[in-house]
Amino acid sequence: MKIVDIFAIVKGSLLSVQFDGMSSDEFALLFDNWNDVEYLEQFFEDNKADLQSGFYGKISVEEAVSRTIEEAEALEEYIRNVAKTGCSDPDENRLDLTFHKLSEKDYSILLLKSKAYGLHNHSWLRIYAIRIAENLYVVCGGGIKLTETMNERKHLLKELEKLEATKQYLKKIDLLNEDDYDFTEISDHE
Amino acid sequence: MNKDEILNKLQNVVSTEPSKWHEDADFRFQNKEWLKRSQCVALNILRTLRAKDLSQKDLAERLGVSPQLVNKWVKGKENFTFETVAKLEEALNIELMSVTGFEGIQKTELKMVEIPYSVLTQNIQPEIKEHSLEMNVISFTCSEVHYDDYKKTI
Repeated sequence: MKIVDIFAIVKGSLLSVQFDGMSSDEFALLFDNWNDVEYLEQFFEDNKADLQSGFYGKISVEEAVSRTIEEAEALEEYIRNVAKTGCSDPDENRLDLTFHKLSEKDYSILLLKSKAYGLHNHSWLRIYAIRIAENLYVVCGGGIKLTETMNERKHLLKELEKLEATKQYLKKIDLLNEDDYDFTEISDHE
Repeated sequence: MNKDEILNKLQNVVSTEPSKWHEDADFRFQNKEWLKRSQCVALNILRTLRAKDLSQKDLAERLGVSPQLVNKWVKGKENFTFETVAKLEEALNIELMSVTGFEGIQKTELKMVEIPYSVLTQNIQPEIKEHSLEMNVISFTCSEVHYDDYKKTI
């Protein structure tokens, strides 16, 4: 798994890697997928058991597709606004993308209090990133998380591989010390 | 290493091209109202295909279009024409879009038939004096002369 480029999403705050063989960087691909009806319909059909397991309540495939598109729209507009204006809150001159640290032990989510920014309380959209400095993140993947922990499903295990590959790449180009990074995710868990 | 040092280093490795996401996000933001409708149509197509155990290729064959075109439609990024929607509705036997007043037009069942000139002049004598034959055929299709009335004369 080789990284071929890094792109700026929010200048000085948010970057995204592009892996070899992919048509664009991971951040762009995520929002492509979350707006692709064919991809979403197939994804929720493939993961119907998880979808209807009750973790998020019993939801039909149709509802899941609509909900994903709505949540992606809200998240994208939030980040787009941050990218254009440089800050998330007009009253505050700083960026707050509400990332949460992933526990390295079992990759479950640390439920931190976050700022609400108009999304549902239990969004299943995830953007995974490595924090390389204060308020500076490198996105290396993401997905739709229907289960409680990351290491339960194949598509999320793939994301852990991407996190690891990005970590190695950042160390190689001397942007990451062994002990000053965190695996994080963007979400809106309260 | 402090943040400024990291940012300086990043300048050498970050692409000078912007992420494709910026352009995509602008497009989605500027076109979101019709994109939502397109996504809804796409989802209905996909769910119908799945329920009827049909593939995108089957649908393409029914419509005489390429499978690539059908695949483009089901991604939810197509600005559908009424013509395409009507063809899809007929091919799948479902309603994809509801248009105000459309149901009423369907029930009227207007029909185009050829009428002998003599019959036409008998029925709407005052109009034929003022309009060409072609104009009167057009007015017939707009129900000024009822098809049933015409049939009685044959």
